[in-house]
Amino acid sequence: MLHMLLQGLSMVLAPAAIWHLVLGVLLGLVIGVVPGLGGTQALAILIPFIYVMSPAVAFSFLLGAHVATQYAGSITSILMNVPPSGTNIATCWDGYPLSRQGRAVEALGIGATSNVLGAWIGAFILLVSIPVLKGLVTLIQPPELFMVSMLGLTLVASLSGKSLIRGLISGLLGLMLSLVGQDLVTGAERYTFGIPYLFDGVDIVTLVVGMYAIGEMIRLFTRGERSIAEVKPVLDYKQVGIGMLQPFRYWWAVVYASLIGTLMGIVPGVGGTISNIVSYGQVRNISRNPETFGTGRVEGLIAPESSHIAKEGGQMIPTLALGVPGGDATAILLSAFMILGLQPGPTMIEQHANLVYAIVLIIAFASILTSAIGLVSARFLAVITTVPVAILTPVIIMFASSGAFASTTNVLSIVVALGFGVLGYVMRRYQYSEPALIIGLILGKIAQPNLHLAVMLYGYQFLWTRPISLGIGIAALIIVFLPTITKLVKNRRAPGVAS
Amino acid sequence: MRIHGEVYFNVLLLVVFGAALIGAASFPPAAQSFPYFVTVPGLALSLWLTIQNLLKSRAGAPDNKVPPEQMRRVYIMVASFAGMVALIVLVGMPIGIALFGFGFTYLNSKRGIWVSAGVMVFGFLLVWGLFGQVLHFMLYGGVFGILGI
Repeated sequence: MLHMLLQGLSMVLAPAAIWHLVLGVLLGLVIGVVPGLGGTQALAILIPFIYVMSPAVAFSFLLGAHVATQYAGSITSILMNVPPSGTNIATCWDGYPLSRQGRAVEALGIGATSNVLGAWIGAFILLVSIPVLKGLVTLIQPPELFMVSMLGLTLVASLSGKSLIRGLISGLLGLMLSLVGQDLVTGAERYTFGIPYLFDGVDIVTLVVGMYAIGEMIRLFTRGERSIAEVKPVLDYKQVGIGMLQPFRYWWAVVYASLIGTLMGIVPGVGGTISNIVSYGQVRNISRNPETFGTGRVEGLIAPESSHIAKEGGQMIPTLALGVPGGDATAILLSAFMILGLQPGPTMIEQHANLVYAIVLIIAFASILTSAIGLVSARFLAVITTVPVAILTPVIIMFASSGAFASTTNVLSIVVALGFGVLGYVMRRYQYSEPALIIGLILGKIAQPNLHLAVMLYGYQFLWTRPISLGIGIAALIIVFLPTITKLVKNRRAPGVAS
Repeated sequence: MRIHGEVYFNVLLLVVFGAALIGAASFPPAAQSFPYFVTVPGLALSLWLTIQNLLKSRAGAPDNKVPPEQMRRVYIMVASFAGMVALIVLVGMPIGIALFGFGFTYLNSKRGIWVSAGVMVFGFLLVWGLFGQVLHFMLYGGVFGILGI
């Protein structure tokens, strides 16, 4: 193993690979800040260039860009509440409030370090677990995917904010939006009104840029606020340093979120959108002050930042070990393997072990390079939070509208995004939970077809006959009932303590 | 009785969930169960919240409505969106979005024509330059097909 690892290292440290890694990272940072263009789109744009490259150089270029898009998305999410793709949604929930408190530079530092640590944890797990986990991946079937989505839905309760009933209504509204479009199993059209645009359902990027970016701009503009930062931000490198150290202080959040991210990445079809939301919810659940999440908690930023990059390592496990893509981006990477004349799957690890280790190292190095660029530029980027709202509002609306269009290449998405912007404003005004709505939409799209398939394949017995599915189901029940049980136990103990 | 501001949103939710429930009846049986699973509790919870808020209104709780000055700005925003959509339909995405940027900045920022022009150029370069020329997206050119398909 060590011999192969060193061979992989020498492949990555070749001058051509380094230059292409730098180029990929720079291109990824540029592509990643544009709403609607995430890591998947970056790979799709750059893949035509790899025909003339060697495998190590090609993967340095592609993975460099892909990893960089993840942090680029964090920058816009933290500074402007604009998540370019679903993988950055949870970053907004505590990252943006930090910017509003004048701590944008520190938040960018937190994001950068969390990214590096998450990437390294994900890469390490990838390194040691490929031979072990390739058997596990084959056990993931529709019942397990359904149960994973149920596990995610339990977060609706914890992300409901001050009002549980409003949170539940938001979650149900999200689930209802997930019903729009053609049912994947029966082929029936639901709530499409015969409009072709709705046949594919509600686009997640359109909804996210609408609710977060446009909704937030409506809120800031209507309240007559002067800039995003309510407090004048401190723009110096000392703040970057403070931010860089925070993930070490909250190391448990980094480790926990990275493990969740990697595990979510291993499950094919679950993807980064869920991993960042689930890890946020879980870190919130084990925090001592869960009620303060959403107001600018450091752990609340660390969790999604560590998780969404760690899942890259997890997604590589089924891709490399079985030739099964873990998500959209790895599906494109799979085609890159084909272009380069490589066949991912069980033989890949035996025949090209050095390349597999090189890929692990590329993910790790790309995260360092990306974060270094982010840290150096944090001080300058944070100036965005001081731009007057009256100027920033049209810029962000133009940006968000273009992102919505880019996501579906349909001009109707602009209208839909503006509509979701108004909905987001009203929901926030009356304390309905936007995160719950988004969770409902994302998980509804996964839960429904997988429930259909699970019942068709195994009947309702899958609920108790499949051990992994049963285990996830029990975990979901524990998450739902644990706070209530803990409260009851505390209440029982309290009189005794008092006496 | 001053009606609690949230009631209007609750009524909208009731209509949405109610219409979705009625619509679910027309789906094939295999595609009906999930819509019922979602719309029935949605309708019930919305109804409960509506009644709660109406009772609050009757009890004289603060109406939680948007203050008039903020409401005026909400109208400006919605009108700007409508204007942007109309411009996109008329002159296409690149020019429509850029003109929205100019108009909004000029009317609301009070920073003069040059800052507004800067925002307009940024919008044009973003849509026509980045999406149209660099990334080769097929841009919508409006009814006259300007700088688009």
